[in-house]
Amino acid sequence: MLKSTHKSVSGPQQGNLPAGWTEHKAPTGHTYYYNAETKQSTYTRPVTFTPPVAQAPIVHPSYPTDRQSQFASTPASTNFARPAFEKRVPRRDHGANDRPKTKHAIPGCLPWLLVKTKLGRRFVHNPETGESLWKIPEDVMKWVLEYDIQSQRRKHGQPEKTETEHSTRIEPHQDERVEETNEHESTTVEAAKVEAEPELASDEEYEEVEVTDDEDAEGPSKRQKLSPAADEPDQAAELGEDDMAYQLAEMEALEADFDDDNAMNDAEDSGWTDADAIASFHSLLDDHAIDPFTTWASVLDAGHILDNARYTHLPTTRARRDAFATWSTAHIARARAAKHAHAKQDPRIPFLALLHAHASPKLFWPEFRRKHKRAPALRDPALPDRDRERLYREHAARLAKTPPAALVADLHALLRSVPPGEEWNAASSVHGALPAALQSDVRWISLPAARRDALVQEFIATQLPAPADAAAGGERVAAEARQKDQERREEALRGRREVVEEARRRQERDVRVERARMAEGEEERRRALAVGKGGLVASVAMGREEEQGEE
Amino acid sequence: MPKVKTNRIKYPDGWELIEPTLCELDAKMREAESDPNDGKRKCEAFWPIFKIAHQKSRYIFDLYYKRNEISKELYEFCLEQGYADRNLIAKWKKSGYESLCCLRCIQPRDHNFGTTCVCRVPEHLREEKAVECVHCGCGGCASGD
Ligand SMILES: [Zn+2]
Ligand SMILES: [Zn+2]
Repeated sequence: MLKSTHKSVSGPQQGNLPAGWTEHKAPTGHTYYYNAETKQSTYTRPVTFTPPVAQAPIVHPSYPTDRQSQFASTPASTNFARPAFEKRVPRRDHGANDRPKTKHAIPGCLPWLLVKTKLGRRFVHNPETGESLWKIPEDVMKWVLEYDIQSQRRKHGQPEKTETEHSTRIEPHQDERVEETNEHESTTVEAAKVEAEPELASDEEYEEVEVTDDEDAEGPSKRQKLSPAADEPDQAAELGEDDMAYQLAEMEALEADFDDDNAMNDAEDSGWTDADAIASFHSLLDDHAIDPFTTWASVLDAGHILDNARYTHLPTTRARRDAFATWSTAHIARARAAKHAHAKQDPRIPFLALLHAHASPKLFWPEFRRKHKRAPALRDPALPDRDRERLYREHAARLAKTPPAALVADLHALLRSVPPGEEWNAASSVHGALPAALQSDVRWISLPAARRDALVQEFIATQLPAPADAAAGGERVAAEARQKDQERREEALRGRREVVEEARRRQERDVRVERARMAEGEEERRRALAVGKGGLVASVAMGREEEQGEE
Repeated sequence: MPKVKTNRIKYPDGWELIEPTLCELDAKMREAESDPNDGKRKCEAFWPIFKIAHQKSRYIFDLYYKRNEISKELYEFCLEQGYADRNLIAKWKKSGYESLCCLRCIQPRDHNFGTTCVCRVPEHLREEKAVECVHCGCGGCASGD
């Protein structure tokens, strides 16, 4: 009975429009009205004596522009100006007129959420078990009632919304608003057509209440007073599991939308700063092991980071590109510093490592060289071929002739020959970075790797003075600082989420109020006033008479 | 017989870091070149090629002038090897041409009335806000935009 039908509401009413209003045909075939002065558009035919209600300014969404290099992200070819009416056409998706509006945690029985749909129906949802029930179970119902009472009390304590807040409405809601108007209108018309049965009347009243309601606490309670809760079960029959799943999905989509829209709008006071947003974006780049030398365009093309929530912490593409630039610069600087440290590496070290792995006394030098001519250690121009040959011969001779005990003694002599200091400290904190003086000596590679490493570990443990731990300590401090920073950021993020959530709720409320204003014409307002005196049925009847009178 | 070294390019330091990106752009360029251009307007056929050429030059330009991440040697090497357009980069260094899309767009003899391309007009002076220039598909490359 609440199905919205776009019947020719305005068909018979071919009277004059108020000044400034013009009549148009939407591509969907519906007639709508546009006021060029106030930039208002509506499906409801404006009435002559009605002053335009709530002329909220249309805020154009700002598009992130990416200008410095016009090719940087996406080709500009999609920038066709869209005809203005496209936004005004109501969405008709899923065939369902209802959609979820609010979701509240029910205090007292926590996993359960109370979901309210646009038409004011309520169901409970348990995100942990995935259950959704139109018929609220008894134990949950108890808490829902409690919650209703509380929220009602809260509402009465709160002052009404002020006018200025309404102007924070954003454009994308316009279509929803129009749709709301539309639906409202059609229900009104239907109510006028059908004889006002008590049940329908209560429903109509209910719709009324839902639309004008602000904190949506009054709806259910009033409703229970008016109708003997008889329509609850048949609605449950009318809407199946699919419907409920759809409501939940819509709910989530709605929330996602808001996250996008609101992100960073008023998050300053939560402790979440721009620097944090940039840092979290950087950590995203780190996690995805993005090549710092790549271009921003190819990062976007690859698209790995686009799905991540951290990607949206920065509001615009330009900010993201700048963050990427700073990140890559820092990364490259770090890589360069590391490379500088590495650059002094003795060319003998990789060569000796190669010998250690592959050389054998059975092989002569030319054979060895031919066999491994592709190895980079043999192509490094920094080490002359002559030296390579000499090292090879020496190594082969040691392997063939020196007894193992002598080799061990040699290794010990070598270890002792390196003075304790910086390099050893580095060795004990970072694995494998042993002093270069060790690794560039031919004695270093005489023993099998496992045996040699055991000996070296033993030597470090027993013979070396305890490392001053300067380097390791520094590392640990840095790591701790990073950790702390991360925690702080998470904290701030949580704060920001709350703020965004709060903003979202506020905005939702504003939108609702705004919708109510749109939907409520002067007529409806009068009827609403009449409810107090003549009762509901009388008010509906009166509204019908007036409409007929106009025709 | 003496060993003759032929075709040996000596890659400067840091080449291995920028090589993947340049190779990727090269691959894109090959793809664009072999693209059949079905259903496109005649002038649109070359847009992807201009776009990728712009990206490559911009990449080298940014690395050397903006981010200071490659050595002069490597920068010169890239120019010599044709990874970037020296003339386009020369324009970018001049004020007013910081984000020029391509050289044809500022070539008066390629235009009616001896002027430059529509994409060179700052956005606030243009009548139509969304443009695509006929040469390279540029949507606006005036410095102030
Ligand atoms: Zn241009
Ligand atoms: Zn151009």
